[in-house]
Amino acid sequence: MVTRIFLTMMILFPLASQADLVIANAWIKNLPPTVPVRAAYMNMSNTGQEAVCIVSFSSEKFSNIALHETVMNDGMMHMQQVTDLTIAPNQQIILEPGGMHLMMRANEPTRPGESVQMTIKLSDGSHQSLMMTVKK
Amino acid sequence: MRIVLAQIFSLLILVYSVIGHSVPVAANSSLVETEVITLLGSETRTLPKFELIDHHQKTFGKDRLRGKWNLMFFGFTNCPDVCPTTLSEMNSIVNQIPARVRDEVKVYFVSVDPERDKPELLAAYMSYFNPDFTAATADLDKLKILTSALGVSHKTRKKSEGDLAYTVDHSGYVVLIDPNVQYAGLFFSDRDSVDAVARDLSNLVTQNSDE
Repeated sequence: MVTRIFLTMMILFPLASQADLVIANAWIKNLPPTVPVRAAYMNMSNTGQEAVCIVSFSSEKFSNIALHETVMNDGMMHMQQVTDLTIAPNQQIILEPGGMHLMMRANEPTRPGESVQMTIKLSDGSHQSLMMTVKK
Repeated sequence: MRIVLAQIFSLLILVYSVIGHSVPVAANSSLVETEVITLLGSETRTLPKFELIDHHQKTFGKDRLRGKWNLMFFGFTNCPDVCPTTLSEMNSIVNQIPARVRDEVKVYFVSVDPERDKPELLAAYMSYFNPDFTAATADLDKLKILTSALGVSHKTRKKSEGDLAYTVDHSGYVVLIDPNVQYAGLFFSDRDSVDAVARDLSNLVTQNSDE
């Protein structure tokens, strides 16, 4: 009974940080098995009243996941790591091809249509899970 | 896209640098108006002789480009974002070109990472994106002949001598080489400009074949 009440409370009043970060259109660009890296893209919105800070991304299927931004440097496309991912209230951050993206090392090949689970760790210690679709 | 302004600025500098160092050659693309592709017009210049190895392990030089409209992009297969995105866009572009002119357009991916991108890896890469595309590479000295002529830059970013997960900075524009093997134009690929590039290429092919 206590468990049921707790679960009901969790559904009706989830932890603020988990409810505030809304992820949409999360996908991974597929590449042939000979390529060990992948990029992931998504829209991240903070619908709450307080800033949300993402500490890390993790997935069983990928390692060394880092947020990168493609920037122009000396006339060349350069991948620069973004170390602080804080999303202000009502702010949306878009990870898209040619801009910010998650740089990931594939532990195994991917295939189009596959769903991949990823976990986002927030600075308050909470975790948020999301599903990403692999697309060609 | 956040880097569009930087790309436009780089494009202007690049065009200026090309104009400043080239010997003008009459261009057969100069009379065509384009939406996205920046044509070099009277500054179109002939490519020097170069020798790469393609993904079939065959010699790839100037003669392969003659008689076709060629799109050439420089990158590396371990690139997760810009290179696969650009190749997917090249695939969309050629698929949007009317079938009657599609045979006149060829797409080339030149790897500036010859240490890792061996022909068999390039073959798997091309097979994935479009079997009609050609990939090629060469050692850095041979690559430089082609990249210098096209104003393409690249720089390997190794964190240590044994680093095998390194990334490579590289120019992000697509080069247009005309049927006379002249550097005729360039553009930054973008998913929003796929239709316009396809129209530009169709007009270039059609109007030049009508002459």
